[in-house]
Amino acid sequence: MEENNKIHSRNWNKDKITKWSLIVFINLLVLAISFNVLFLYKCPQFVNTVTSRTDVGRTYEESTAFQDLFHYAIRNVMETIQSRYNFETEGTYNPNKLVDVLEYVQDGEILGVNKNGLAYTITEMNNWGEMYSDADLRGDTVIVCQKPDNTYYYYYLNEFQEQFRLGKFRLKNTDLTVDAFLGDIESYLPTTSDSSFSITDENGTVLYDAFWRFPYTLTEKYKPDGAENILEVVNHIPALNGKLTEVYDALQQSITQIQVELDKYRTSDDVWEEGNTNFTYMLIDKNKKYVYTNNSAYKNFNDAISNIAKLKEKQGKYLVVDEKLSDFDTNMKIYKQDWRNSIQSYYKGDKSNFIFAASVDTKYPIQDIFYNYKQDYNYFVPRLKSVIFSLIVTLILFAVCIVWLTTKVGEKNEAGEVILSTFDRWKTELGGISIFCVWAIVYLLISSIFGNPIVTALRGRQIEYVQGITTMTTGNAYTYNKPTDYILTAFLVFFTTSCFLTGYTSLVRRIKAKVLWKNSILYYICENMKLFWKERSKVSKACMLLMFFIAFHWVAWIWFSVGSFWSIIVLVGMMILDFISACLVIRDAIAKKKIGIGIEELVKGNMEYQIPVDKLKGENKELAEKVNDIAKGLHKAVDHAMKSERLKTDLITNVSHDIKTPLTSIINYVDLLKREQFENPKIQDYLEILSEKSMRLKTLTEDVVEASKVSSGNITLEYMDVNFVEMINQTEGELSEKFEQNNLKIVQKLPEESVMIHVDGRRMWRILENIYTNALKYAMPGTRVYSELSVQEDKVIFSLKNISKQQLNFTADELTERFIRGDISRGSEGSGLGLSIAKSLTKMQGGAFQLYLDGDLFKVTIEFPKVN
Amino acid sequence: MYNILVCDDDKDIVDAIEIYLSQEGYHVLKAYDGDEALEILKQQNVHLLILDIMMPRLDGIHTTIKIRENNGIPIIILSAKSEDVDKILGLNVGADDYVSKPFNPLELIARVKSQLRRYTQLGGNSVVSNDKIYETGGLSINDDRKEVTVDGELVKLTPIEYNILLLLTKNQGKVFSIDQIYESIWNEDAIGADNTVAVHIRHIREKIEINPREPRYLKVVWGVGYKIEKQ
Repeated sequence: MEENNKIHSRNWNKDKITKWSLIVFINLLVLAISFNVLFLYKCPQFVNTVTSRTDVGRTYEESTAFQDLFHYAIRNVMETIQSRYNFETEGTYNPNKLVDVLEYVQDGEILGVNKNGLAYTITEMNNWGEMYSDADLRGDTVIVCQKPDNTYYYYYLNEFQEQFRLGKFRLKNTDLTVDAFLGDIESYLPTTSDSSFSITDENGTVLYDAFWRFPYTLTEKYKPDGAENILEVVNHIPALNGKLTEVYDALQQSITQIQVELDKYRTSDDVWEEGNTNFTYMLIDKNKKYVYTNNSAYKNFNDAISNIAKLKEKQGKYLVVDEKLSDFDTNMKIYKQDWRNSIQSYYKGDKSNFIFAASVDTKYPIQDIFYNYKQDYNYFVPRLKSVIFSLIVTLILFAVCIVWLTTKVGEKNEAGEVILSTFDRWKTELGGISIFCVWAIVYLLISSIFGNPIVTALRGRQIEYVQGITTMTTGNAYTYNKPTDYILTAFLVFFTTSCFLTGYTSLVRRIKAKVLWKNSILYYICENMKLFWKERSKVSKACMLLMFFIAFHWVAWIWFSVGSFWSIIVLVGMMILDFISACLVIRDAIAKKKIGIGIEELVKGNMEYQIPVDKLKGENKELAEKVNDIAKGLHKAVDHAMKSERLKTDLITNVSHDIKTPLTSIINYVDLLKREQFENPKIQDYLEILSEKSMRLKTLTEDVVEASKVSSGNITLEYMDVNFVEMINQTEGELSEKFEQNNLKIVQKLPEESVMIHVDGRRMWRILENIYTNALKYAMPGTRVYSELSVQEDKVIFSLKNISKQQLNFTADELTERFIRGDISRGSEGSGLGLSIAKSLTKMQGGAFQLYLDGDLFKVTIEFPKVN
Repeated sequence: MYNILVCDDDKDIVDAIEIYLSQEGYHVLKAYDGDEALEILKQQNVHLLILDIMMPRLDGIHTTIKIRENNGIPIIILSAKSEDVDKILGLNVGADDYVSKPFNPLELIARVKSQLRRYTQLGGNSVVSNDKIYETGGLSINDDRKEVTVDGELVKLTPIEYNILLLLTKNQGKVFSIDQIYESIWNEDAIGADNTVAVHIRHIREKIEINPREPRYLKVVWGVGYKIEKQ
């Protein structure tokens, strides 16, 4: 025992050491993982040099990172050229340059010429755009009037009203007064074509067939070039007639667009200027015969082609885009089609009229972004593989350690129970929240002192990620982490891991001790609610459910009538609830029906029927089980009674067999004695008595057996149609001589035709025999015995009446009780079971048996249903 | 001199039966269980067997079954079991008659005689006669001589009784109602027929049956009528 304990404690200590080593190790692992992830986070643009098949093992100049940067530079340069072209005249910014709105929206070009009619200066549009983003600039309502020739004329609302006031316009086809119409024009006029009104001049000539409101306008902050307002432009230029929507849309789009573009133009810096970069570009505009370039040597348009050749000759990467794909020339491994398409798309003008060429000097004489990118590439890429490898290894190790720790956590004491710490005994939710709070407090503390540690850790990001054509902010690049940043990060990682492990080990212990759910606040609430619900009566439960149901429907109905996206969800919820309640009601009804059937079967006497309770729930199940119990109890009781009755019959039968054997000897030897000649005549008398009594004993045993059989229902009946009249005649025929011997006269009163009943003939004979024998024994000699058979509708009634020779000092009931006889005081032949047997047999065959005693009149009546 | 084997485990009953049978001039062999009875049957020439059912070792039913494998002697079962089922079982396994205890000695002797007559006179029926003879089992009516015999013994009947018995015997198995019998015997309409016929029937039974309460030939079909059982 002691030995055992020692081993146990040694094991226990060993387990503890393992556990703590694991915890420390996991901390270190998480630290490693964190720094690996941080490393990867700082150079996402280089990760596919390891992961992507096409990128593996390439030099910087061949990498996609370099290509992305190259592409970015091209785009940036071309956009700058475009905006310079738009906003500058003769190389300088021209705020008064005219913007043709429709052309600007269509081609993105600002040419300074009003071609389509609607034009504003750059300054105007920019200011307008700023105002537009600040406030709602919905303008005055415009009235669109349709002329009979299906062209349109536009009025501002006040102009329109003015025309009426001046009497130049008259309303036609309406009873409305002009004042009323003008006073509430918004409610009268639709926003779509409506020909119910038309306008005439003072002479009654129809001016406009139809007119309607156009509400989608802009507040006009500035006058268009050469006009007072937009409508003047639109009304006078036939090309714009009927295109009011397009005009306003274009205006709205251009004022927002120009603002963004102008902003870009103003903030563009000199990154791509000559001397600032290793990147050289040429954009040759064949139309204007002009070369945009950052190299002063290439500015001459006439030498452009030879200059491109010179560009290509330089050491480095280059690319030339001309009209056709076949003209595309580069020494980089790129998808030419894609690059050509995207570069052409940056050029707003005619695609066939420009040549673009660019190159990067890979000797990097200038320390620009390309140079810095190369430095990073050379730093990160060789290390990337090992970082990713170590990340995978540490992650796997982490998973393994966590699993291992999970198996080690939760030691058991001698009683086999999991040992729980004080913290483990806290409510589950409380434990979770408290760990989170501790972590959050420390985190916030660090944040407030040293700044947000996550931001600190991430701020050393080397280069903002350049993904193809996304924007690049160059200002924030090139900050490096300080050593303190790493210390802070390490501390945070360590602290977070500790918090996590504390919570995790506690969680594992709780699960192992099976208290995670049971020791939770939610469980406590649930249990109390369950208890509360259980204690409710059925009625209050039903009321509460119904109230919830109705309340939900009301809320849903109101909510739905308010109308929102959520109303659909509420409606669906309502339908689900309705469906559930319908199911519940139907299920309840079915359960009630099942129980009803069960009770009905029980009433019918089928005590073996059991209500199927598998599919019943709750109270119905309880109810059904109780009914089943009652049935079982009854069945058991009846079964028991039947069994004991059968046992009794068996016992009586067996006893009677045992009595019969000695009785046989008695009867036989008495008979033999009687044959002997005795001198003394008394002996003969005595023998006569013995003989008589032994014979009586014989009938008694037989009757007892029969009575017990009949009363326990232990006989089978063979039913047949029987003529009752014939039956009575046969019976009287059998017994007539005995009646004559007793000086009794039978008086019959039977119907002449047959009277049929459905009984077992032999049992019926037994009934009649017993009744007649009873009369034979107890009727006063010399009197008449009346037998009468009458038919009443569906019944057949037979009665036998006689005058008793003894005074009848007992009740009719007593007579049919077993062993009670008319002559209790005096012994005579018979067992006293005759009437009892007759009654039992009658009832068994579906008849009724009655005795009627009136003074000395003794009457037996039996009744059977008539068969037709 | 007939040999009658009496088999019962109660020695007193066997002795009593021996006294009765001896008085009638039969030689009685005694056995106290089925095995003993089978043993005696092998060794001696036995003409009739009176057999109890409830016996130690081999009971009456099994004894009967064994005897019936190779022996056709008359067997009368004498048993305290008086239920219908017991009687049916006994007769079905091959017994010729069934008497329940306690028995009337006279009845038993009558049945013994009857069985012996039938058994020994079995060949006598082959006597060819031109007379009109109707018979069933041991009951025989010679309509030419107007004689009725039961197991060869002459029975005296009144003319009406004879006519009723003849009618029923001629139509063995057919059930006649009281009215039908009345009409064919008296040649009158049976309006309000009383128990006259029933009384005659009982008289006939008392004359031709050993135990009128358990008739072999003239049977009562309760509530329907009377018939002579076809055997």
